[in-house]
Amino acid sequence: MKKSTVKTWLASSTAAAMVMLSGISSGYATEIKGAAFDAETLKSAEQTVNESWTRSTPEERKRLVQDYSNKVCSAYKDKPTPELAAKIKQFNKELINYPQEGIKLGDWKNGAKLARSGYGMRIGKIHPDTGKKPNGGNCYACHALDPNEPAAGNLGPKLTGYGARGTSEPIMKYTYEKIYNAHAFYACSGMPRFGVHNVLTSKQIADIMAYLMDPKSPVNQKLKMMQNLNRNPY
Amino acid sequence: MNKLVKLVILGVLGSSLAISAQAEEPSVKDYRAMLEDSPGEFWVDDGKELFHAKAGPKNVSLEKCDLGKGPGVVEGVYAELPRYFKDTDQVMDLESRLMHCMITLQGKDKDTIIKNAFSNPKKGKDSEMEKIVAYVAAQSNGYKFNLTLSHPKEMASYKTGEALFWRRSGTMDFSCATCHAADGKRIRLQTLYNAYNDKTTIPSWPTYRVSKSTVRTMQNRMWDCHWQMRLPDVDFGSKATIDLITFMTKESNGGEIQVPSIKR
Ligand code: HEC
Ligand code: HEC
Repeated sequence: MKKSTVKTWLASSTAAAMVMLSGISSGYATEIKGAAFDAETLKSAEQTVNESWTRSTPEERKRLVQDYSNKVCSAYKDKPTPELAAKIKQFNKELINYPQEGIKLGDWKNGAKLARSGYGMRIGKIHPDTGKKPNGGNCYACHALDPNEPAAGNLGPKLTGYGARGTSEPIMKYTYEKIYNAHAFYACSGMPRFGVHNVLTSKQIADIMAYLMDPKSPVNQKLKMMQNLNRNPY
Repeated sequence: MNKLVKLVILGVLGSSLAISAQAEEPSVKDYRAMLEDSPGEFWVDDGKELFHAKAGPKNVSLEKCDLGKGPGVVEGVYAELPRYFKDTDQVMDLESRLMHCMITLQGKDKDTIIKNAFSNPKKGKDSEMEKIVAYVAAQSNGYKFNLTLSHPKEMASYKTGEALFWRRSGTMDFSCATCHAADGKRIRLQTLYNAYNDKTTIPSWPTYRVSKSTVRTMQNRMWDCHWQMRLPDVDFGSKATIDLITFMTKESNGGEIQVPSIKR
């Protein structure tokens, strides 16, 4: 791809602004050398995106714009080089905002609801979410949590018994940051960046953290069947 | 089996699926054995009538529609779609090609076709497109998908389709690959198909969706997954949908078409 084309392409997206803000100024052109797709194919994909959502509003189409992180991950099929992975993690670290009241555990009962709910952020004319209910975190789509909840996906690791890690300051901070922006720890993670995109508020994150970490939370209880077995005199 | 009996069975099926959804992924194969064939057969029958009926401002049928093997040929065409069409100088899938024929041959209005492309049984909204697609696709039953990508635009469509498949965006940072590029993955209890290792899923579309009480097409699935990704409604028959379908279908080459299938 010609350098000038790359420049105008980048300038038109918010990614450019973010790249500069975070001090990663080498731009995107050098990043895609050695990517999984050639420059021509990546350009064709962008043109295709531009012509395939003509019936959506400009506001809706903003969702299709990629930031630096998503752009590099896409070009590398989620397997960036170690150098790029480090840049992506740094880029994402800088996107994390912290709650003014400090990182605290909230209400695990509300966290349990949020972990189950996949509601929110769907748009379009056909079947948009109305915004009448709070957004969910949908953790169960990808993670096993409560050992007595069989309807759990497996895109992410099991989080059952997460509370065993305790509630020390580093663990609290890690858990908050991980939910806010998983890509700050794992470049090109399959986990959504819930804080970055304002899907979850810091209060909701505190509730979900309590669901993971509060000793009373079902996530940190034993499998019921096992308890019954324990009571078995044999 | 007559239509009424089938619909009663489907009603029972639908509600038992809803109840058991929590426990274990229901085996559609078990239910399928209860039925002689997919209820989607009604859509095929209706689609056949619609295909041959005079319609639109020009009052002609779709019998002159060239789906890749010459005007009027329906047998085996689906096994080679998406493909390049000289008259439009574009790669087209079955649905965008049918839309093209409805516009050029029958004089139908594009916006109206798109507005009515997806049925909504809950609101009593019917779709002729879903029926015609079911009919044409079923005329390739027993055929194996065979995309050759011999035209440069077909190859470009495949490559672009794969890049789109990995393109992450939206408030969930998803790409199709987040969910469909590994074996044995599930969202909750729903099994996710792996586009890189599957010869049965794409050849099972269009499909009768028990949970939706209607036949759904691949264009509808493209809309649905983009919607789940929290992206705006992708245009019906757009290049993004066609390129994605070219990519997924090519990966399914050799898979035998059996449609309409029946799914959750
Ligand atoms: C679309 C799938 C998806 C969703 C939804 C999701 N995650 Fe994840 N999650 C992953 C994947 C994949 C990983 C592994 C890669 C990584 O660490 O980022 C992960 C990793 C994690 C980890 C790190 C694991 C560890 O042992 O430290 C935590 C904690 C976590 N997720 C919590 C959550 C919570 C809480 C939610 C709900 C608010 C959630 N996830 C929603 C996919 C998901
Ligand atoms: C967050 C996960 C997720 C993402 C991202 C996603 N899908 Fe899906 N997809 C699903 C689920 C879940 C189903 C099954 C739905 C059902 O059974 O009701 C599905 C079904 C499908 C099917 C039909 C599979 C079958 O078993 O019949 C196809 C094809 C498909 N998706 C393609 C795509 C494409 C193309 C994209 C990107 C534009 C995409 N998906 C993005 C979750 C996802």
